Amino acid sequence: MLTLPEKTSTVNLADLLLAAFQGPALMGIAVMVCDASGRLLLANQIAHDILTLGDGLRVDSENLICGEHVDGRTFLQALQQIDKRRAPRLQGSASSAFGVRRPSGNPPFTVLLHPLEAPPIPSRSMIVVFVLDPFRRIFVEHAELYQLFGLTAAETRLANLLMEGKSLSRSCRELGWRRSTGSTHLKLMFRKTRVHTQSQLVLLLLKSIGLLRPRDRALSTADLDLDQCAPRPTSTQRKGIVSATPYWTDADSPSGTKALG
Amino acid sequence: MATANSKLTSEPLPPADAAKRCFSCGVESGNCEHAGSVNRGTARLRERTESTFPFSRVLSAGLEALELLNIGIAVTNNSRKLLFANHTAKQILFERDGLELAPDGTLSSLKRRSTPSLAELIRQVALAPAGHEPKDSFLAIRRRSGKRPLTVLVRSLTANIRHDNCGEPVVLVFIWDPELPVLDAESRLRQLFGLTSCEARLANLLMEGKTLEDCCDQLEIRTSTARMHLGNLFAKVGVQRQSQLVSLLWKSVGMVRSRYVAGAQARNGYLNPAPPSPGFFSSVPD
Repeated sequence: MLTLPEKTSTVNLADLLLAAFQGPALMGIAVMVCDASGRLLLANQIAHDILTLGDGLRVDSENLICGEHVDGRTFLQALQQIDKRRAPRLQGSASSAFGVRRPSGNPPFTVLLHPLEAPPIPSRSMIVVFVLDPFRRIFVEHAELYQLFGLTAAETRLANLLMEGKSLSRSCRELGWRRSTGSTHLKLMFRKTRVHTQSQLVLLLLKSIGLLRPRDRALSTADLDLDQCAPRPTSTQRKGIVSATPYWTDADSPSGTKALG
Repeated sequence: MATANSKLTSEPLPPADAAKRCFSCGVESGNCEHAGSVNRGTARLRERTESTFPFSRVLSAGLEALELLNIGIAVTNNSRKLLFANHTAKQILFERDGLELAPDGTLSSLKRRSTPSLAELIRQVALAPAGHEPKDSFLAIRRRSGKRPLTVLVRSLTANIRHDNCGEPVVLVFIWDPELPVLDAESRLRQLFGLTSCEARLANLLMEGKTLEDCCDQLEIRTSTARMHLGNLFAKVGVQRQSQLVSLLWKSVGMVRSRYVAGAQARNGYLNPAPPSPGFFSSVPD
């Protein structure tokens, strides 16, 4: 484990590194650090957004991360399993991947767990949690694909839909194009990017620009499809709610419970 | 379906208004001044866990997460001096194909490989007043080897760092290498989608951008066998087309490595205050 110096002469190091830790948020990758019991220790912006929405993953009043594995296990059980397999000499071999069920009915989140090097005190071990939403909307801008591959604005619109995993016909329908228009654009994109198949094109685009979010959307929940995700509790469900205060609100502030009333 | 739903909703749901509120101050999102800043949320977490987990340890654990990304992340100051680089960034710099670390510790692109120059771009972004960054902070860097160009994105960090502490402007540099291999994804693919080892090997090769024919050659299987595996992959992953499959696989496990070379490299490479010694890259695998 690293030990960080408290300050440097020019930049507050902790601030700088915290900012670097936020980096993956630009690509829509949620990163969290938790301990072996699932207690949240650090979360980047996307992770905060996902926990705020509470669709599949959320944080209870004890700051513990809760979620349900697609095969029925809880998040905690998955953590404990990985903690057991932790071998100090084989870092990485214990990493695990699973899907987390989402109450809204959206496709599951992919959760990747990576235990960090075992510390001397077992109860203080930490685990890195990546949360990825493979069905996220994609908003790569024209300027970027133009500079990389010389794509036109229309081709960029098509490319975004293809990167989301949609078929050519479905994309054409969404764009209001004829199928032939779509395939002409697709062929031109093949030529510009020097690939031969649609899957190669999709992969190349994803690997070149990733899931980069444009600046104005850089840190927002817009692409989490709020309308679909946020399950509005019905009145009968509301009665059953244990009014846990979200971890980010002050304990004495009544805002969390008031809104439920 | 109905039973599954009722089972799911029996657990406590989050407050209905949570989605619309800023996580740090509770004000409706959009109206609050913290939009785009997680500093206060982090501060609260820190207060609650400081007694058992010193913040510097938690933060360094968070930075180890960056080591696992298949995307190069670096921090430099306005004169391109490298302050931080994750494993992938170091790997890319080590290859000296397009981007490299100059002897004085600055990040530089090979001459005439990009327009506008990287130096110009980093200076513009670093020195721009907050909220007025140049729109185009994006660069494609051609490579000597003829491989596909590196993509470089520069974002200002000045707004995220308290000004009184920040003597010099710093920027965050992202580097994508489209030809970076996706290694060791097989075990995670098996866990995630319940693939067999043959299917996982095929999926891994497809994720690298290989065609089905290439995969057959490499795995020494017949086309008919590969098609059968592909059909099973479609069913298990729940897709209908190959492009859909690779997009979903890559977005699920492609961005995160399953391991990286821990130890010496992780320890000495985080901050590089002195000009890099020849040993700076010594532990990056060739």
